[in-house]
Amino acid sequence: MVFLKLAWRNLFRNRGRTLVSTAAISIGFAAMIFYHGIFYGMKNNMYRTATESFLGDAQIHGIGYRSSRKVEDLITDLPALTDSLEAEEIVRAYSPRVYSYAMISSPANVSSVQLIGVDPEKEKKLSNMDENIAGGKYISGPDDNGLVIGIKLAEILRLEIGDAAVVTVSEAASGDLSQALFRVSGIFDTGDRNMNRSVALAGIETARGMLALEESAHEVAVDFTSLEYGLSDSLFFWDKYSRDGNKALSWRELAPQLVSAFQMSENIISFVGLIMFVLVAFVILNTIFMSLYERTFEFGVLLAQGTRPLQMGRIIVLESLSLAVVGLIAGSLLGLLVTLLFQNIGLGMSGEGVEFMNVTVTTDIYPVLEPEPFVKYSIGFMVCTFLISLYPAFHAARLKPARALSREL
Amino acid sequence: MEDSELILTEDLEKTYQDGVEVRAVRGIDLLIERGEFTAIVGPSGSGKTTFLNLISGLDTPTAGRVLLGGREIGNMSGTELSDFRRDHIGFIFQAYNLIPVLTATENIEYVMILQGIDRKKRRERVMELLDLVGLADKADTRPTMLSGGQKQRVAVARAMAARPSIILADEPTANLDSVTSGELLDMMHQLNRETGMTFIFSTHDTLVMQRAERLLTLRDGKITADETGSEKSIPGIDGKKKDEE
Ligand SMILES: Nc1ncnc2c1ncn2[C@@H]1O[C@H](COP(=O)(O)OP(=O)(O)OP(=O)(O)O)[C@@H](O)[C@H]1O
Ligand SMILES: [Mg+2]
Repeated sequence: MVFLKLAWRNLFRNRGRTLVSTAAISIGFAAMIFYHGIFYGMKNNMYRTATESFLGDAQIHGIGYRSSRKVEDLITDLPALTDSLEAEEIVRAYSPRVYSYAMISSPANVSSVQLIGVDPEKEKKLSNMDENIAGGKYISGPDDNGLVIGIKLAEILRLEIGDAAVVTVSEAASGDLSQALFRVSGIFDTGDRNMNRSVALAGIETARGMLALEESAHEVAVDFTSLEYGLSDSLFFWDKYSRDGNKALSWRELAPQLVSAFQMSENIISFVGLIMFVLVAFVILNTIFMSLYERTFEFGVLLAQGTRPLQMGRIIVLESLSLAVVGLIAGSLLGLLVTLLFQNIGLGMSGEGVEFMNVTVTTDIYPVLEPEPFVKYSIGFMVCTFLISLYPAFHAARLKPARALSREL
Repeated sequence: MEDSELILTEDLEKTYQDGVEVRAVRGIDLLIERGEFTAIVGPSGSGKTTFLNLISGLDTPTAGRVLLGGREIGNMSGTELSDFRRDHIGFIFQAYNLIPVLTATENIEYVMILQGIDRKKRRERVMELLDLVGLADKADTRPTMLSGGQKQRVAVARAMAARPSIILADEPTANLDSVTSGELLDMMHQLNRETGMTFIFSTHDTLVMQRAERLLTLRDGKITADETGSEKSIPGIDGKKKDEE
């Protein structure tokens, strides 16, 4: 196609200008790719931090427990459920938990807490509470008599390792108060302020004993072999474990605020992207107009020879798109390079880390490399360029041949 | 366009209105027949370029009309006019004629691409034309690598590519030395005789005036003389080129 040939060769005519335009376009494009990579790297980081700290990728509860938080709203048939989870291919780990509101008192103070009974062997595989021990040690077994409390709670109650504290709960069936004396065996410090302030961990059997429960639990947290399963609505898992009085929810449903915050940020980068594209497209507009003015006589010659107005416009659109394509290729390579570079070295989170939705992220960010932004931004950019190029194209289509020819070089 | 009355203008006028009013063409009635080899002369600013632009539909008249092969071009739409030029008129300009990013071959075949002629036929025609203008060896050369005379030869080949009935040349020899000009003119004259294509030049060049079979003199937008054959009175016939204004 002769118009494409004209467009393409004209691009290489004023090399300096094409180089400058291409540089501007490619840097803009590469920045978008890199920004996207960082954003998704941060998102994965955040999701991982959220799910690995305590949430898990999914949780199963008895129907009604999440709204009532009553001690008697238990999971139906826990042994059958754990047997079944044990056999799931996509389940990497699971951990049953017993929950109760409790009052904890020390000689210095009183506070309400959430008492959580865990089986440390199972819990270790799922959450990283055991890795966040700031003092003392983690729960050692299901019937451990020690109590592991958050660092903030320890401060409020002025408790140290080995100190005694009294925990009061109400029993499941009778509602009678039940009290037990614990020794603080460990203090944890997660990135989550709420947990540091209001959680006390105990052995699951110890907790069951206090609450007068048989082999049962309020929650089973599940960790999948991949983060992706938690993002899939069509997974059979949800149906399979939402039966017989139980309900399985993904972490997205458990922490919707995390998801919606990211949704919003995603909209923001799309918007920033759009602005970037429009700016970059203006670089193209400027380049094309400059080249159009320089070549007015030449356009006059093409018109004299019988090039139709629409065809004149097409030459301009093709030239703009050619410039965009060159910029895109250079930008993709640059974006790829920068992303790969930072994938190797990571972007350090300075000092305290970044807090987002009550979760503090301290690990380095590794930008994610996906084909999606390349495709998405390329299409967006080409569309922008096309739309913007209609303006000089219109200008070229309306050139009067005699006028164009009277402009000698 | 089979008529022998190829170009007919009736009371043709063009007034430019860019700030000051310039009446570049003031009422020209003219008939040009098929196969003519005609030169338009006149001092700078007399309206030669404007007149050529009007009779080729590159510009629109302020008043009067132009009939090409009996068709009034003032009634054509933009696209119709483009297609008409493509099929019936070839252009040669003073300079910067050729598209610099295209080779000689590509410059010549451009109009045939617009006409939708297939590649094989195009290439045959290009070779034939390059032979005709004596540049068969420059087929793949870009204009920057050609001399002024060679460029104008390619321009002549290009103007003829679509086998138009009319070739309009606005000062085709202005940038050439007299030897090269003479060669180019000989070539065009021969093509005129062999193909019957009509050639119309605007020029300041006495060489062109000498070779022309009909000489039209323009002054202040009007035709003041219309001479053919031996009766032509050529300014500066003493052999020296007339001074460029
Ligand atoms: N686009 C334009 N706008 C305004 N005036 C114009 C325009 N083009 C030409 N003119 C004027 O019209 C008159 C005729 O110009 P034209 O170019 O037709 O003359 P010409 O005979 O071709 O001159 P030359 O021998 O220098 O090429 C001149 O006075 C010129 O200044
Ligand atoms: Mg002129």
